[in-house]
Amino acid sequence: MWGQIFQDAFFAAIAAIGFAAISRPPKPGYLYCAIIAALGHASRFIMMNSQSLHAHIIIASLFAALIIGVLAVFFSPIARIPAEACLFPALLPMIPGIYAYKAFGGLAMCVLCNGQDAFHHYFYLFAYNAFTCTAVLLSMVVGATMPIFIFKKVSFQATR
Amino acid sequence: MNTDSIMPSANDMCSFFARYSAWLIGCGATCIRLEKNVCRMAAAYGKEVELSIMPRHVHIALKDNDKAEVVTVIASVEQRAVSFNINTRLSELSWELADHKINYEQAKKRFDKIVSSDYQSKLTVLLLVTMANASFCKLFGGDWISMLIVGIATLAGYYVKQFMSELHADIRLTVLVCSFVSSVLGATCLLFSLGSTPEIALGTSVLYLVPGVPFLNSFSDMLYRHYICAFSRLADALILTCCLSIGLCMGMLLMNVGMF
Amino acid sequence: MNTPLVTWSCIVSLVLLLIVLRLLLKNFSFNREKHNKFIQLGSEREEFFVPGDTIEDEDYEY
Repeated sequence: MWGQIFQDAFFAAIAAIGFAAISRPPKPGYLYCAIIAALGHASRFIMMNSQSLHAHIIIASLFAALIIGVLAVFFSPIARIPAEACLFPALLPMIPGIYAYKAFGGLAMCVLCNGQDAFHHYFYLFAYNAFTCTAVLLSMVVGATMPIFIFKKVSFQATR
Repeated sequence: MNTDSIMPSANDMCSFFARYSAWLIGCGATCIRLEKNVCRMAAAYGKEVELSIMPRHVHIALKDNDKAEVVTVIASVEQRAVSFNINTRLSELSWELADHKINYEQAKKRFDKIVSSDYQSKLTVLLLVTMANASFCKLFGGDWISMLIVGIATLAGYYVKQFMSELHADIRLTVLVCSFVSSVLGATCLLFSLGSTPEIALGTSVLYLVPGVPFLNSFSDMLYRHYICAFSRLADALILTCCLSIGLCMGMLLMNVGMF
Repeated sequence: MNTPLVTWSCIVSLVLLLIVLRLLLKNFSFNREKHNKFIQLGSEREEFFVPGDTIEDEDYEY
């Protein structure tokens, strides 16, 4: 179990650095992004895979994003970068990308298929993926923004 | 300590704020950040500012309390890639101006320097994205061979993306082409029966194209009740995801693979 | 016909072609900056220059 958690954290950190590079964070941001993303993703992994919790992806994302948000708010004055500049890159590995494109795939199949049963099946796939994607994104942003709301002073004065 | 010898005119200041806003929104800042930064700078000079942020334009009204005059400037949002580096440095600039650590003329010079010196090595980004997507494959439970294939697919796809953005190709077309290239290469495992997790390799090979920052920005704007910006950013992100999906579907169709 | 294999090979060869072409172009422009062209036009005087020749300024003064 511990090995798996560490592996998850490690690869999440690499993923965060790489996906952050696309949106050009400031140089000191990379390190903090990696740490925050590793802790956040590992906590989601624990919540989703532990025997006792076995949380749904939406709930797990909410709490993982909350952890990421709190960490980002407190790291941002140290790194002297705005909270969202290390918050958003750290959230990137948790973006439900597969749900997003599967939703569009389902929609395309809805249009192309023939027969009511096939349509129902693909519409179900479309709706399931789209709703899950939206809910995960929303819970992630709510979770990550709440700390910014709560510690408004810290987060908006980070670059002072 | 105020280092300004002369007070800048409301006219001049308003056009500076307009350029500042156009860049800050253009490089992917949230609306709340823009409002805070601009109001902070205006307050330092005893002026009031009202902003209306549209998807492609920013409308700024600056009220000079001393002379009872109001200046309005509308600026077009810079159409450019997301850059948290510019975002960070422009936020720094707003604090320095607000705390009177630099004067207005210095701030204008700093601004020009910040927006013109956002350089990033292309090769580094290419390699980082490759590693990131390969490790993403591992996060979804892929084996080492899948990771390798995803790495190669991402390398090729992102290389094409950089090439097409140098040619100033339309971003939607770019995403479509890149996802097609990546998905065809990501299906290598299925084609030659390599490894034990070929579906994961195919599924994760296009994930570097998911517009994560626009999605997050859009939901963040929604929480702060900037609904127009939120929906326009959501529409942008959805269209890009749709293009990604079309490219992926085309790739899967030609490679004889079903998505579900 | 085996569509997947053909598609795959096409994409692989196109991407490789793009990479090779871009690398070549890059090196070419690099050479041009250093004035190491493969073929270039020189003046007659440059080609038949013997050390000791007077270097005349060919610019007319208007």
